[in-house]
Amino acid sequence: MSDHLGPVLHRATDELPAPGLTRAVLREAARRRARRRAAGAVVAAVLASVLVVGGATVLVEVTGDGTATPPATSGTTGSGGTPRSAEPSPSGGRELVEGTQPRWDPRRVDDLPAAGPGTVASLPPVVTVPSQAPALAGAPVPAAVLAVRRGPQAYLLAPDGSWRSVPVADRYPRLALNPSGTALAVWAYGDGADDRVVVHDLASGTTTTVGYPSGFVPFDFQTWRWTDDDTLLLDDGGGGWLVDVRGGAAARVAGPAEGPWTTDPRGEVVEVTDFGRPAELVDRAGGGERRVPLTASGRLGSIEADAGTVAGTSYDERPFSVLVVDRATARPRAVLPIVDPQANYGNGGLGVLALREDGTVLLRVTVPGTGTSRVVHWDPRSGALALVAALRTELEDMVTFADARLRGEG
Amino acid sequence: MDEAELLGFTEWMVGCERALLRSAYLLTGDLHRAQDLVQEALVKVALRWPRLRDGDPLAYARRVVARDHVSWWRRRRRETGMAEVPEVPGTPGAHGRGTAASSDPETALVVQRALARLTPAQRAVLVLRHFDDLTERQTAEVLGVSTGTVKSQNAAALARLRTGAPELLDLIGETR
Repeated sequence: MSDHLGPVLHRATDELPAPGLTRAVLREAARRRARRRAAGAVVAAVLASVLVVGGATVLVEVTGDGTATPPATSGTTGSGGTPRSAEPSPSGGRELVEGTQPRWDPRRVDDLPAAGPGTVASLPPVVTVPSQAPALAGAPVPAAVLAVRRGPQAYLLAPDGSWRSVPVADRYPRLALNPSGTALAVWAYGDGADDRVVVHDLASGTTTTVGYPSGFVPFDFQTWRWTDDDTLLLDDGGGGWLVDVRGGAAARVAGPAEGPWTTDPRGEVVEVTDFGRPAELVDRAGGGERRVPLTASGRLGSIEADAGTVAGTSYDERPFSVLVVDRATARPRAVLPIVDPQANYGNGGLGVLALREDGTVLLRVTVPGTGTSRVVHWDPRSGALALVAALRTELEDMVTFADARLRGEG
Repeated sequence: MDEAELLGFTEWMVGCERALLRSAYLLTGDLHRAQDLVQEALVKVALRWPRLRDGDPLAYARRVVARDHVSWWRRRRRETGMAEVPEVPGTPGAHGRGTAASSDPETALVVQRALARLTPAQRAVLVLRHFDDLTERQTAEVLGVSTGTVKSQNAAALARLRTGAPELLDLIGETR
């Protein structure tokens, strides 16, 4: 059937004329550029005051055209004094966050200095997935630092550096380690016949199967996340479902119901509104719904949150950057502009992996075309960047981390 | 954009806007919405043109079209509280839908009705794979999902068409 479908689809649309959108597109693009420049001036004024991040300060000066620039002594070198890439902006320095910290070029990620040992406990500087490993069922481990799905197996990296394997025979599974890394959830995502979550308890090697809650509607692009070591939050596109993986109890909750979302260490949902709506941070702490306009930062993606802060990447029309914003006010505290000439990083190649207890941020940076990626440590107070780990994965691999370990808890 | 960039963007846009519109029309089943999606995607490309021109701006535009459509579908579903949001099958002459898009009215109608039986994700995968002729990996990159998801969605879409759209099988001459 598939061989014949293309010609039929072409025949079904062969009379559609070119829409002739040139004038409308150019006019709208010009209007948005003007609006962006105006917003940039406003934000530069906001950033002109002292930015306070975790008790330390980053001074930002404002030039006559509204462009913010840091003093020469602030954030111009990486850890250990290594000079960082500081390419000029292709738009000539008129952009929203220009100069908050020097632009960083992720294509030079391997030139970064190594992060201090133990930045992420038990995560080795180079992670190489083995071709085989003892089965978890016969050789349980207390916890895992990360898990990698490769083909029909999930490989678990234990804190002692050894690996275990778990078969994931279901079609197209997704994986998620719970925050402490003591359980691995496998979401069997197929054609509907086998929709369920299988939870592997690492310490015992046993599994529990959790069915979908009554009323849950599997959505094609659904997302999920552990909110604590025993509870999964499933997003079916119309709201959230909290599922207790031990007892199986499920409860409908209001969020997530917008766009990109995350949970803070207490399991509270933080979201960003989706396209087509005003850019807002939606904070569902305590079961409420508090909306804060993302006026200065614009819409954020790839977000992580703690009690007072949200880290994410810029989205939509803004120059691609990593931002740390205040959770209560959405006011930017720190901005790391990213050199992204081919839009590789702004299209999923660079994201926030964790917001740590000490206020620093972990980024995951893919190496385009290779399937490998890097874990990078960014200190928003100093601007210092350091390389934590190289993940020697393949394009088809899926990686999940134990969040509490990334956050540096305990 | 300076003058040279403007010229480059305009040439690129004129060369691909019809293909994007046809793809978006198959994705949505509604010409007006397809035009809105394409215009929004082209505006976003224009805003990023200096960074995109040496890469693959068409892939970026396709990504915006597909994701904005899914976002619209999700919003509509939340607002209506419906478990499924059915797409409206083609109706000749109504709201830009239906047979005016094709030299073969019967084919246009059958295709619209068949595609309306798919979920937005299945539909996006089907259009990108079989109309835009993208590989599984390219489709995965456009949609921001894994190639495994593309495979599963494509298989599910074809299975659903086989069982739910027999008139499409008749049209392409496949034995049921």
